[in-house]
Amino acid sequence: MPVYKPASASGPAENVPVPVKPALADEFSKAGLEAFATYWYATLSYGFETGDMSPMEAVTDPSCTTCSKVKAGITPWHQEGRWTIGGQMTVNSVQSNFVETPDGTFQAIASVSQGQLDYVRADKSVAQSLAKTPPISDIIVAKFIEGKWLALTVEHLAGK
Amino acid sequence: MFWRLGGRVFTVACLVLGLGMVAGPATAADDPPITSNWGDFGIGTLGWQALPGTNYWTVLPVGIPEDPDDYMFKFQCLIDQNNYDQACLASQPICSAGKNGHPVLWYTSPKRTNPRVWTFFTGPTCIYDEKPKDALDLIAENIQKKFEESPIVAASVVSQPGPNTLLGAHTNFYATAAEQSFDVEMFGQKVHITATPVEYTWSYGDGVVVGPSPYAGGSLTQDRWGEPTNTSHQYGATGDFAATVTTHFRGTYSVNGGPRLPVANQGHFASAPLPVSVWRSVVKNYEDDCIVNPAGAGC
Repeated sequence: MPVYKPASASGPAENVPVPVKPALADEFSKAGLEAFATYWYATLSYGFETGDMSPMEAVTDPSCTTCSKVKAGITPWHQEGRWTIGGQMTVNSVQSNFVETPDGTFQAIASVSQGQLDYVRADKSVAQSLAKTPPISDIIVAKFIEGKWLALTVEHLAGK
Repeated sequence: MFWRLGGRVFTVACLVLGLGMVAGPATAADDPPITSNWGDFGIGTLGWQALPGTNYWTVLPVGIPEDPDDYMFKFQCLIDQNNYDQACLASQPICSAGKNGHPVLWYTSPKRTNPRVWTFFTGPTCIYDEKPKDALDLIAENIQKKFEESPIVAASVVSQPGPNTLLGAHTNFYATAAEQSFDVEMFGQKVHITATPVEYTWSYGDGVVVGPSPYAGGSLTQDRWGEPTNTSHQYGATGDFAATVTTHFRGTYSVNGGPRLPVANQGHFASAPLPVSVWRSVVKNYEDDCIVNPAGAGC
């Protein structure tokens, strides 16, 4: 059984466990959508930690622009010997009214924080260090398709 | 921001390599351009608003969304009503900038989350008063008036062309307004007020009023004068008019370095009137050759 080792100043994370979607997150219910939103942030967290966005992409529509922004930033960084330290997502709260909107989607509101995130170069120098974020209010817009939730948009409530 | 910075650095690196220098160890020049966190990556292009009368959020087609979060504070070391744990207070920042200072922590929750789930936001910061709770309530009650009385500089207005323009022409108007902030004292607390221009109401002086709209307009180069813009106006009569713009500012305030709290209503500030003279143009064609006949009509 490979042992998970978080990233440190001396090297990248090893054997990062792939987030496991709980059965509840596939349920068409308020609790199901909330579990799905929590799972979504676990896939985002995994993406920041490994550069591998495929678990997130498996449950996210390609039209999610903030999701592509994360991928464009994170995935290239995790190549050529570079890595990141930290950046784990914490879901402070997630709630859905489970009301269908006129376009057939459902929404959940989450408060999330991201831990300190360091971008480290292959020579172990730190390119950028971003402090832990304050709580951020996000909206998760999702659709229930073929027995599963699909995230259409995940972004901050306060836009540009 | 990071993208731009990265791009500039990258360009420099190309120049250096082009001059035949040997690449050294990994440097910023080799970094992929975008490094950020969810705080930046997660910014959407849309503003979400809790739609009144519904249980969901919607995107705003125009304008600036309200603050999606609520805030609250808790006193540090409070045992009950007005008793504080003195030993606990000793480990807190000293709130001595005013009378009866107490350290507080601020918490935030998305609006409409029910029940509220409060997450630590910032602090400890200080609140001063005999009854600090009352001081914040009093500020909240009076901040609207204070905001509206702030010496906020209204937008300046320019017309193109100006001050003379032609009947029926698309005369371009634009307003220039800046974010402004003020430090005031209210009920013994230091209050930092910020006013951000968000919308504009245009009054062209001939009875036509447009807005509030998010459009401030912009300057056109002279070769483009006469093109219709979001803020241009066509006068239907000749004469002298006074055009004004009322700038609607959104306010936020922060007490003793606490979170930025929203001021409930916008502040409205009118700019000084801009005189506009509207003229009729008359085209007359003459066929006299003024060199041959200098006294001819139109010469």
